[in-house]
Amino acid sequence: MTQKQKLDFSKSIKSKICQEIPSDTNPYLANERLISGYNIEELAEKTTLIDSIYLLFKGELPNAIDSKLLNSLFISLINLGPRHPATRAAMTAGISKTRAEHLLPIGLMTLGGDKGGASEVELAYLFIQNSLDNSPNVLANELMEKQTDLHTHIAPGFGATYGDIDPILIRIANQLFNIKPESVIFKWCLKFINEIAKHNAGWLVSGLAAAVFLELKMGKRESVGLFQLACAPGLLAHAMEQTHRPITDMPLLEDENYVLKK
Amino acid sequence: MSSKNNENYPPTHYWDQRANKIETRIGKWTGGEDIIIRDKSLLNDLFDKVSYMRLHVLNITGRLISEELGKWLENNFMVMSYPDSRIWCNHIGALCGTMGTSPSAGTIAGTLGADSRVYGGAQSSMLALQFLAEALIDYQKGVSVIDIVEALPTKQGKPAIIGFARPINRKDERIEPHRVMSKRLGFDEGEYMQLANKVDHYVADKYKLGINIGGYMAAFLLDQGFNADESYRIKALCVNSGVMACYVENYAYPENSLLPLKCNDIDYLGAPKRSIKN
Repeated sequence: MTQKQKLDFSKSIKSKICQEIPSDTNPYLANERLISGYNIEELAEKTTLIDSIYLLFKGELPNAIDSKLLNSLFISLINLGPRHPATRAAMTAGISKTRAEHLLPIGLMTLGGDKGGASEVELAYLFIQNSLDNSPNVLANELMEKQTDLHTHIAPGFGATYGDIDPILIRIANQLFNIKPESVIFKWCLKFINEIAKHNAGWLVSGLAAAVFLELKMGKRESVGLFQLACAPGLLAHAMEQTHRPITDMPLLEDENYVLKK
Repeated sequence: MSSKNNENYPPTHYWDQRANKIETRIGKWTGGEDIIIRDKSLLNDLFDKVSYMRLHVLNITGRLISEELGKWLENNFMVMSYPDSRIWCNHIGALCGTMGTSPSAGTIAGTLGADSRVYGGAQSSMLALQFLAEALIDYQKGVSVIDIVEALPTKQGKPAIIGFARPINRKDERIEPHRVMSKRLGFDEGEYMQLANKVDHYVADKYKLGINIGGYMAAFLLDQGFNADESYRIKALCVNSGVMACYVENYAYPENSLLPLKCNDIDYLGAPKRSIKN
């Protein structure tokens, strides 16, 4: 490193989230841990998990409506179902005796993709945010005109699920939007959804999550991780369940069903 | 099935066809006999005949690349993975070592860390390939190198040009050895490399930037017929060796041994201490 220009990076880590107050006798040992100023023990006593998650990302505790909205979204995403690719990846790891601590990361990494996964949440967030000044009806029809493929989402976060409208997401969206019916974002989304429904397209889970995170003014990048966090319990539970079953208790295709094409 | 309105089939036809069956052109293991990889027998055509790197590229792209190109890539991997635990991906690997994380998780965590738009050689080289691929189209249409560079968005007064800057602003020591290696292995500079050299000269003169290994590799791989996605996939694990080296060293130490931080070493910038209002 002689004669080299200094690297000149910051000398310390900076954070607005957490302050640790050292013990009087050991500067490495935290005697108190504060989240945005609130002692973590007080948070544990007086708030909910969802409010503490909101606090971590926003720096303030939520009001009752936003708390209910985030809580309802997190419960709605808590289990994407045993057929979802991320759940299946985690279950495959579970039954094949992968180390237990890897099961959740495997599910979450699989969930990270941009075909209905966490990466699409950011794209959907931007799509909704950038479209709010446009007529949802006109935009929907323009996008539907361009769409020629059954598998292509008409816009990030919106499209068909197995060629059809996902009925569960329609009901969940209505449930969520009723919590905050005055939301400009939700009103726009509902108009857009009603229009694309004429073409057999509807909500994708990434789009619904994005709409709520945008309404809560979570950042677009934060929304990616919060989506993963919300989906995590179901991934983990399904994976753990499989660890208790023998490896033969999940299908492995016979040779005749695994066809090598030339 | 690509049409959204195919009246000859039920709406679920695409998925019905694929239930309980996998059709593949990639490979098949026939237990006790052989393994087919992209129409080749692993045990008869490849094993003990081609390098691991050539097999790696065959798996990913379907191309059985030349021995020289395999050697080039293998050498390139050598310089994508320095065992210096200050480098971000390696730092993650080192922290995994201090936590007693499994070696697989340590490798994957560090390697995931390098899936970054600013360093790491996988995503960053994919972005460099995208830039150079588009730049050559413009250049062949008559757009000058100056106009190509100046049309890019800027960051801190300099063009944000993936492949021609480093997060640590020092000359990339890997370029010259790569030029020597390329020549020794018989690779001429193709049209992408020639354009990359012109961009390098311009940004070096005007902005004190310069081609980095991502930019160099992007030009080389484009000249060899690879595209951006293939590059991303080939290079996805290229930092794993250095990550593991840093993991190993730190695994040997007690927990919290790597750059220990006192509570007050963190610059806290948030709200002051307060209580929840009832």
